[in-house]
Amino acid sequence: MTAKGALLSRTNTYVSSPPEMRWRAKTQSWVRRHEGWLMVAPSMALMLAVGIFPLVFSLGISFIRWEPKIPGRPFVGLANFRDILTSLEYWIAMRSTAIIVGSGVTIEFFFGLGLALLMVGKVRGKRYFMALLMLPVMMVPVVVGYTWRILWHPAYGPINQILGWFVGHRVTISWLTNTKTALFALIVTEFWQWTPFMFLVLLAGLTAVNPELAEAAAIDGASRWQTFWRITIPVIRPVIMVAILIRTIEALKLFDIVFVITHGGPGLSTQSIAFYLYRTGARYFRMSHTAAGSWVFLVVVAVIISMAVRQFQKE
Amino acid sequence: MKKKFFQLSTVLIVVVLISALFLVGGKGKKEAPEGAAPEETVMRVGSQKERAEALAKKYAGVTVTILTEGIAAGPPKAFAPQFEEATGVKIKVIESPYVETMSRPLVEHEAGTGAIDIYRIVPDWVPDFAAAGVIQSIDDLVKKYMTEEDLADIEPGYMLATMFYEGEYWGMLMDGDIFILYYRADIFEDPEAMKRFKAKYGYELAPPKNWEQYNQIGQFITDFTKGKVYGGAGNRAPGQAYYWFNQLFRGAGGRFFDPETMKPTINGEIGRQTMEQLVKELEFGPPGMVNWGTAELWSGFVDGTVAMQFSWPPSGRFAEAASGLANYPTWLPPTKVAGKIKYALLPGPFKGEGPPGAGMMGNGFWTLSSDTKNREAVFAYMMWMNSAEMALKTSLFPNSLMDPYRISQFAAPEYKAAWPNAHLYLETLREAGKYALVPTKVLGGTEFDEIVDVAVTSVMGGMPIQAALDEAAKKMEEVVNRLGKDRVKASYKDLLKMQDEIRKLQY
Repeated sequence: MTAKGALLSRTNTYVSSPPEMRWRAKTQSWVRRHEGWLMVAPSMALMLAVGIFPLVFSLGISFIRWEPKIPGRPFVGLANFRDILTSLEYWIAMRSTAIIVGSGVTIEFFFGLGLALLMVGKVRGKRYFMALLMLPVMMVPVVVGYTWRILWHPAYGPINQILGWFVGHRVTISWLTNTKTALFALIVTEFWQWTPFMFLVLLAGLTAVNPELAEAAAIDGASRWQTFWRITIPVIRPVIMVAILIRTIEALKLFDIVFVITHGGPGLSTQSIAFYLYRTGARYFRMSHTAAGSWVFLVVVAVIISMAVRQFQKE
Repeated sequence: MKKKFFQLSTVLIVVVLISALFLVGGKGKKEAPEGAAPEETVMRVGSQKERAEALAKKYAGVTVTILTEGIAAGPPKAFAPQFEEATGVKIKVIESPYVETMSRPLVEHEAGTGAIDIYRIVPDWVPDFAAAGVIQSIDDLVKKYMTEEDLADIEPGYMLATMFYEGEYWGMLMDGDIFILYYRADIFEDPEAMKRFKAKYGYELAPPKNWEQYNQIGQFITDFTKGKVYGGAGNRAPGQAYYWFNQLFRGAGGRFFDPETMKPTINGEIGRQTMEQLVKELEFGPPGMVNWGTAELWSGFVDGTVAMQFSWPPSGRFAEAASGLANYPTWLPPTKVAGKIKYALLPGPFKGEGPPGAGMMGNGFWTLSSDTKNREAVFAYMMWMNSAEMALKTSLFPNSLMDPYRISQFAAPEYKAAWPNAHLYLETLREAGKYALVPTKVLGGTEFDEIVDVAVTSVMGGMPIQAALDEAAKKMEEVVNRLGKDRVKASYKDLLKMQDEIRKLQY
């Protein structure tokens, strides 16, 4: 039968069959055309419910005033965003987050790269050293926080005790209650936990570099530094970008160690954005303000990360 | 391409519309659901415990769920089988970290789960939770099922400071947390120390009557013992530092607001003196005290490092752990000061004479959830645990952090016999009730406490005192304006009224 004949045959059947049969045929035809969509619909619905719905919901409530201590939930337009943008406490938290993340990720990167360069190739005891090195990153952040809170203790902490051995007298620096040293203490704690992550990712990148490139460079008279700077770094640039991006995104969510070690103090000096949002949402019950704050932060971070990615891709 | 865009847009619009449905309306104060008990004569004979059991028996088979801080879960868990056997009402105890006892009730209420019947909170949170509709007044239930004798047994100062809000009962006091002074009597009564102190300062070495004396005594002890024992210590770490500020500030007559204009007054003279006092204590306190929380404070006291401290009553019991009153907490070092501790009321004024001050800080307070489905059954359990017999058992429970608040507890022979000075301990705690300082039980109280906490830790971190206090005042004003000046004013005046009622107990 020709295609035209088949079409005529189907058309004739459609025209001449009873309504139920026509409806069934129509449905079956629709199902056949949308088979793919129907198969992914359940998982899509779940993803929408878990992923997109909270985002849209939080955006929605950022335009109302939802604060259980105050009756009603009136529409307030951009008032919450205005409060956030004019809130000194919010921007202090933003600044603290930027300092901890910026310094922390930078130090983690350089140390991680250094360790990776040491460990690339055949190194005696590499397996055992790597297993030890990975322990911090496997620890739950809350446990890390409590551990380091004890380490930083001014009277009973080992850090002051060890410093005391070097200077020859008792050291009682209050690391966590002095605004000048509290941020430093958090950066060191973050560095201790996440440098192994950087190390692992960069080691994977360095291991994948073709050794012939370095050999060729050596033959051409390049020094080790020139080989590293002109060949190795450009080759592992995508890996560097991934490592820094992933670590930065993760670091921006900083909450656990702030909560456990300093509780945002002294004053507000170590309050991260995540801690600020927790405080306003879970303790002050300011739902809409918290939602608006989250969206402002999301936009700021998205802009910075896209600029960084674009810059990397250009180079 | 156009079709795909249309499909995606349709999906997004549907999601937005569904979200919008959740935003419609709002929860406010809920009307209390009607009790299920049929109208009948309310039992008025028998003890409070017996009457609570009789009430609960009507609801046999029901489960009552309580959300409580982990450290306070011991007694409800331990006595649950006894209540279940007596009444047929099952008790489920959910333990939670302290910070979650603030956020979870709101989450449960907003979600309308009805899963939790009793929230163990602190009285400071009552106005906020009431405004949010999370908890409900139990005034009608107290008046229906409790007698004058039941209520008269609760130390009046403790009751006025905690159980009332806007003229109604809003919960059951379960824990008599009140600040008094704990001091090393062996040092205070050392003849050489007494002689030298008198020679230096011109008055007898005795518990201080004002904060100036506290500083003098503190510095003297640190010098006299050549740093082996520090004169005094207190919490300065974030999270609880505000209690120490509030004790000094309110005890000296400080007010957070002008009650008519609602302008914050925390940054006035008394606020400044309070902060100066908190800083001054660091001079004779142990190294690192600026980092101290409760664990460090109590550890320092029981191991003999600190001669004077003021905080919650369990510290006085644990220092005498040799008595066997309570199993010793694993997070404290062994006590080296058993038999050496005495007790006194805390000073009020910074200088000169004036009444003492005793802050009611963080009392364990059981409140009734607005979403409970078994109002009377839940109240029966609260009434049972609050009864004289159960309150005494709770305060004597091993490792219990629950403190006495009933007159019968203060007079209980078994408590008085717990250690040689236990009667002094109980007498001082009871006496402190006359000078009880109402906690920050005002609309926005949770925020005000945190603002004060931030101010204290800012000063400890190096910020100038006046700048920190001015910043705190500014933030408090923002909170007042946001929540509504008239509403906050009404609840603040209620706090002041309770404070005035307590003051009458002193005469």
